Amino acid sequence: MSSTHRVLHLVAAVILWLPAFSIAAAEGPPAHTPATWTDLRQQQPITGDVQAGQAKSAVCAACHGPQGLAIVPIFPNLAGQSATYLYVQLMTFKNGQRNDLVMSGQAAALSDADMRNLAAYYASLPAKPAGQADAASRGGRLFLDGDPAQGVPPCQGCHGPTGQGPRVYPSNTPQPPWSTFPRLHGQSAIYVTKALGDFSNGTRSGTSNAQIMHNVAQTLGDADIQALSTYIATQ
Amino acid sequence: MLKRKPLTALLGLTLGLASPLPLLAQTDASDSQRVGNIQFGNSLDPTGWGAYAVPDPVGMSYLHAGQLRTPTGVLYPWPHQIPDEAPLGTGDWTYTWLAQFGYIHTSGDRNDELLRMYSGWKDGAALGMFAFSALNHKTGQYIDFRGSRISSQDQYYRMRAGRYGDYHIEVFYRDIPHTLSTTAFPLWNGVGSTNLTLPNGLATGSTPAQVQAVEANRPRQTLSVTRQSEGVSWESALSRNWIGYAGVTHEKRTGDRDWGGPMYLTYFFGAPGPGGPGTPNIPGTYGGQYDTVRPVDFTTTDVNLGLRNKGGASGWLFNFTMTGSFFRDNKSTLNYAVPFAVAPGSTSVATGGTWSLEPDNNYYNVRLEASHPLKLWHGEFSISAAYSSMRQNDALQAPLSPMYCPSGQFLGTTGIACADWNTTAALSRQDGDARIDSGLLNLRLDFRPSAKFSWHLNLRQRDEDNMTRYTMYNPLTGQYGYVPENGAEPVVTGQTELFQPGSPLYQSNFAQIASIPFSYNDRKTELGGSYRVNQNNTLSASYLLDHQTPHPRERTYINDQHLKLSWDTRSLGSATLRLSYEYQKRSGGPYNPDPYLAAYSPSMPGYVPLAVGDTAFTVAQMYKYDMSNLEASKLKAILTEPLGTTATFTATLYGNRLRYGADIGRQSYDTTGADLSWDWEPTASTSMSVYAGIESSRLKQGNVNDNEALAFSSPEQADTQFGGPFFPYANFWTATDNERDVDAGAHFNHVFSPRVRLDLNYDYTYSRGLNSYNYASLAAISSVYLPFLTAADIGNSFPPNVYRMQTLTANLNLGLTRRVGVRLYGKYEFGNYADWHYAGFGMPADLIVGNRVFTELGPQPHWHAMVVGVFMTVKL
Repeated sequence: MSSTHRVLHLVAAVILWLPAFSIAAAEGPPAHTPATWTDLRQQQPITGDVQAGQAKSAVCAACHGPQGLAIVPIFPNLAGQSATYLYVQLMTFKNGQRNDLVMSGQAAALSDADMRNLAAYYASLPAKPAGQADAASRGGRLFLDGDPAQGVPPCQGCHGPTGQGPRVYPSNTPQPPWSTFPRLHGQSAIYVTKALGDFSNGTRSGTSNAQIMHNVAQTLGDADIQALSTYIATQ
Repeated sequence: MLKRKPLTALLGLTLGLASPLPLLAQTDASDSQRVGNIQFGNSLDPTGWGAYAVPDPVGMSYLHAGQLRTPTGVLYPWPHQIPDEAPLGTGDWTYTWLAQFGYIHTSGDRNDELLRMYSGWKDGAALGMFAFSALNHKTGQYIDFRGSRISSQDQYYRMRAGRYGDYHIEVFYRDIPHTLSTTAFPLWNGVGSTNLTLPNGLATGSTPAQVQAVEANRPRQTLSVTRQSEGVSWESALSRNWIGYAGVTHEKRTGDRDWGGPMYLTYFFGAPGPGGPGTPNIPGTYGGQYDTVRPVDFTTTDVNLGLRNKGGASGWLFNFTMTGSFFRDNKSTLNYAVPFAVAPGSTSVATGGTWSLEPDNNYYNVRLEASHPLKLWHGEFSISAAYSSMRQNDALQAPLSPMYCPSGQFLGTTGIACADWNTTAALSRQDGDARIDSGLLNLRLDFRPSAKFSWHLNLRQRDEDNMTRYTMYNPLTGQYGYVPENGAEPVVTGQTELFQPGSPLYQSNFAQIASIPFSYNDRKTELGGSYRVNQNNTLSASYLLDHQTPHPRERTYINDQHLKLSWDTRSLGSATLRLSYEYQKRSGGPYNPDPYLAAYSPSMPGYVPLAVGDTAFTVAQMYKYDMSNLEASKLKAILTEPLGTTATFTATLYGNRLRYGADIGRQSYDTTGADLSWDWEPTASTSMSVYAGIESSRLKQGNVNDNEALAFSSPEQADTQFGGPFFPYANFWTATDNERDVDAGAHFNHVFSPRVRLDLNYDYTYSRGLNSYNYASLAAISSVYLPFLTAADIGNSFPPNVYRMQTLTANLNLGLTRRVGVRLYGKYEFGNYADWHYAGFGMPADLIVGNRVFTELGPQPHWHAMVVGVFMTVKL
């Protein structure tokens, strides 16, 4: 092939692709479709002003109790909960990635500092005392060992062996955002059942953690959810 | 094309049986029932899933950001996005599909054989990809179809269906091209058939000038083979722990390729050459060497049936497999007429040659593998046993063809009558009756006495029994041996390779009279262990003794010992270093340079040695490389260095030094190489890699020219000793093969936006080979050439062979809407090729050299070619 032909080939190729590069340039820098959920994988532990949080907590106490222990079982206990978890929940209520008739409205009025302060305050309160959970029960086995045949992972992997938060291990590999994983122990069975249902049906799917829980909850049948909720409530 | 294929019915049957199902697999995992055809792809999309290779920003896990690394420190690639799905009907099924179709155009040196070697590029419409998959998220049932078509010789279609954890069915059809030459100018008519005839104007006895004149006008042809294969396979969980599997693959290879055509040497004998008495007649007027074209018409059917247990029945895990492979050659003969008389005036005999092509072959294998845990030291016992048998029993072919050696004619002055050798009545039996059986037993013990220490013992015994025996006996004449070279040798030389006891004419002929049933037994014993010194360092060592008893071979036994040491460490910062060293030492029994006497006439009763004895079979110090002593050292280091969290640098250095205990034969073989690579994945949108590798090797051999003046004329011709009168030191020569190979490249992938995706690839391949030689004196040169060659003519090497190819490939995917996009494909390839075997071949007439006929001019010395394609992509 002559050099003239080679040049023509290259010119043809460039011309052929020129519009493509123009389009690429016109679209600017990479802009992937925004995720419909908040990515918590690089979420760092938050801090807040406990005193300021306490000052803002009066409204919260109406449902979650003056000491962060819910007055009715449909509401979660907040006392001793992970501050980062609480902050993330408030943030997603506020930005609409988690919806609740009451909480969405309450969170809408909070500033970022308010949310950090409230989270820090409730995290500083003493958690509900430990109960007498039956590790041999179906719920206990699910929590501690999971059910490989059903594809159920053990809950303790992220929530800790007693449900009091994850047991962080040292590693030089990329780490999960441990601080965003909630403590479960002592939450009422009714609340846990509702939460697992919300995860399973996608009602609660606004964070990367919720995406994990969506897949986990879908492996659980109704009886498993009931057993697990009972076990957690007695932890 | 698919509709004409015999497995279409099976495809339809399978589609009917299997519930629809799908999920686009990102990888082609190997299944146990597969015989082959694991990877489906083509030049347009080597991976077979390029249309779906969109990295998912979500990454590997919702649990953590960034990519994990493999245990040796290499980053995992970003996973691909799961394509959009839609409900299928009102049940639990979802589906997705994609179609990519367009037009391909090639320009430049579009017929270059290296461009087309494994690609069926053709101007015209092409199917980049059609994929459909459906999945039932509730039941786990799936069906997945994928197909691509560049041309009728380059296409594949595959369907998989099943239910996860339950069963899996696969059917496929594919065509793969293999172009062998695009510059072929076969002299003969009938290319592709079993009968090559001379074109008009030529007959046996033509002169080189006449043949050249015809050859100059022969049409250019492409020689290629297409591999057309189809198959069906199944795997199913018969119960919780029992899995059954089966598969059938049928492959048909059709086309034609270069082949040989011996009619004896063209220059050794005959009238004096142009230089007068004592010079060879190059180009000669005797004999003939022909580069013919043979048909390829093979089928291979592979059948595989097995059962395995994955749950530990009574503590045992096992796998039982039965395999059959059935090769059929539908064209078992090749006849070719020759334009040159093998000797002046001999135009009535040896006017052509005949080949017996590959025989049909049946192969059977049964294999059992099992393992059982042991309580002692957390051990495991495993065993595998196999038995196989390979059989051929085609009808044998007559030594000579009646077309070229008709009854009533004789081969020169030897008295050999064509009628005695041109029918199968000349054979001692009518069928091949060939069979080789082999048995294998492997026993292994693995122990892990502590978390840090493990060791193993492996015993492997493989025995082979070659039961094939054939005696070359012609009941028509009472003679042993064969008429070689299609009868040309007796005509040219007046000699025969026939033996007949009691016949003064034949009783002293040295001739092969029987087949040689090569076979061997092999016992391997290995002891090895591994010790983890601490969290960052592991030491391993193993010793292997490979005891072989081949027969009939130059040594009755061979002991090959291997000592391997390795050190894996992470103590060098964040890097992982794997260092290994192997020392190999081979020894064996006394070396017998001629263990094949039983297959030759001197072993027969009635053999009468000549007064001058038999010519030495070979020099006694000739050690064949697989039988000679050997000391080898092999060193290898692999360094993997993570660079931050998004890049990896890998370096591999290796060197092998092999020293054979021989002056005559292979002396040494050294290899040194290095591979470097850098991989970078800063985000899901961007990835890049750069690699380079270089390897050089040096293979040195020695040999000695025999003292041709003594051959057939002096008893000293029987002296086998190096340094003796027949193999003097002055006749010693060496040949060294130096090779250097380089490969390098860079790959870049970037997602500019969800609608703009670019892949750029550059690859460079270079290979240079130089054959050089040295000699003790000019006596090392054959006396045929010596009279007219000087040391300056001979030099010390052949010209180098060079192969260089550079390829730039680009893919630009543009999304016009969410469902519709455009793919622009471009490939620019250029290179150069030099092989002195093709030197002087510029046009078809050059292919006639004396009494030699060649067929192809060889690959183009320089080529440039471009392939462009425009495709429309439509998806769900």
